[in-house]
Amino acid sequence: MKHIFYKEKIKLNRILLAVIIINAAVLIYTFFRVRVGIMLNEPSGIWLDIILRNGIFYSKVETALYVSALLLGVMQFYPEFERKRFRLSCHLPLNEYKMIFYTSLFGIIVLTVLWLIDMAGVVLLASQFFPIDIYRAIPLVMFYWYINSLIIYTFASSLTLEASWNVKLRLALMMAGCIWAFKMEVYNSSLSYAVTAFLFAVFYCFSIYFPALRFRKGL
Amino acid sequence: MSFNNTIISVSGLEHSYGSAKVLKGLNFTVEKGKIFGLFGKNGAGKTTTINILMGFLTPEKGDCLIYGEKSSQLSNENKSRIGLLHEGHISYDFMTLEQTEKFYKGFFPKWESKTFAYFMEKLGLPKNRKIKHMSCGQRSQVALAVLMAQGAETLILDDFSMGLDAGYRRLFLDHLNQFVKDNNKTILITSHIVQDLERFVDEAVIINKGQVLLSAPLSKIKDGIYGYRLPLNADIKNIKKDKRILDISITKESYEIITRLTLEESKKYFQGITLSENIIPYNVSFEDAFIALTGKY
Repeated sequence: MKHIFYKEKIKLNRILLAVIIINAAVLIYTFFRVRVGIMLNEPSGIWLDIILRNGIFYSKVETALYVSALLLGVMQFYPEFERKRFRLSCHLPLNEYKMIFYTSLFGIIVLTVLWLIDMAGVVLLASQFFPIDIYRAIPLVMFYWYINSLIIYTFASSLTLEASWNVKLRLALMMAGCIWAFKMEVYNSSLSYAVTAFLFAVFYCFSIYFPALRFRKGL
Repeated sequence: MSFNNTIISVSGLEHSYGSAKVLKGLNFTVEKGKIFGLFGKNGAGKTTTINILMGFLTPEKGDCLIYGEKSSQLSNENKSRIGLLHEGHISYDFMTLEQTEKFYKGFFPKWESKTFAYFMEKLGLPKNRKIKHMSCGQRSQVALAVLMAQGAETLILDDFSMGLDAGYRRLFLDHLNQFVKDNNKTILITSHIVQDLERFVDEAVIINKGQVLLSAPLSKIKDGIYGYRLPLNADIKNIKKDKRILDISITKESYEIITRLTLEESKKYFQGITLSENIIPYNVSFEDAFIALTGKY
């Protein structure tokens, strides 16, 4: 596993830096936006926005996380797809299923770390300006964003690795349906719902095996 | 021939793309320690065969076994015994030379650092040079260095000559000769430039239209094939390609005719048709024989 991680780290060197910068920049932007908002608006206006309009003051973090997932998925698998370089990985003396798993796992770990940093950042930021009632729900909301980011990552990596445009299109339609199903405005706080959604996302991550094994076996 | 000596065994291989059947029952074997050339014109089914051999294509029918295992389902042990050189010398070109060695070393316990260092010294490039910043020829040397250092017993080399100039092609084969013959390695090699392999290959199989046209030791491929030169002023319009006349080429100095006729037979034949007595025999090359057998189109 560490050798596959070593390769992925080298491959994604600049992308890792890019996603860290994107997410850090969004957190900093969110901090200043909230700060300025509080300075310029009446507290009641902010309260109304949060409670009545269901406004999420850290919504830009969601976009940053999704952009990161997309970037990671594409940039991790495009070099493998390009010039059929994935063949090199498939011929390594390592079980192919494990090789694919470890490759994806690296992207998922990066995404998880990003999400945890984002969440810690947002909670820390919120604790500076709001009572706990406002930011108590942040981990739950961001947990669903994390699930979505896993799905976007898998979607991007699967489409990038798939060699046939015909299959790519069909795959895109099927997988996009799942992204749409997970897109939500109201976040269910039920633990069983969150666990079910997470398990679905975990299963969804295994869809990378479809293009990977098609690539391997030339089916 | 004992079974234990058979490294690669291809039997009854068939494959189609849509309605186009590209392999129509291909059979050949590669014995241990042999350097085996797989030749074929564009569209003959060579790439499909190589893809199946490398395990990246599942054939519709037939078997392709390497070390007794299906090429698409090789165990880790056998994967480490087989080195693949992909068309265009594909490598992890986002890595530096140092990173490449560190990465592969982790997978191959028998990694030969001295061999890798030998190639790197010949390349004369800094270890922190990324492969993507190298020339095609330099990349081919890196790919070869990785194959040699991992200690693979069998090498499958797909179109090693792609993108290489004459010097690098020769260098590649020199290095291959040096390492392969000393270590009794088995090689299956293809190249678009067939004359390069004349000095390298022990046995050859020529495939045409998805079938084996000829399989023989290289020294036998040219048996019964003769070349004659006729002056450019000879009237050759009545010479037609048939079972005896295999190919007619025009060079700046003469007509070159490849035939199955011996010198005596060809003198009678050409003098009768062209009225020319100036018939000069020459030694056909492997490329001449290949074209004569498969045709130019």
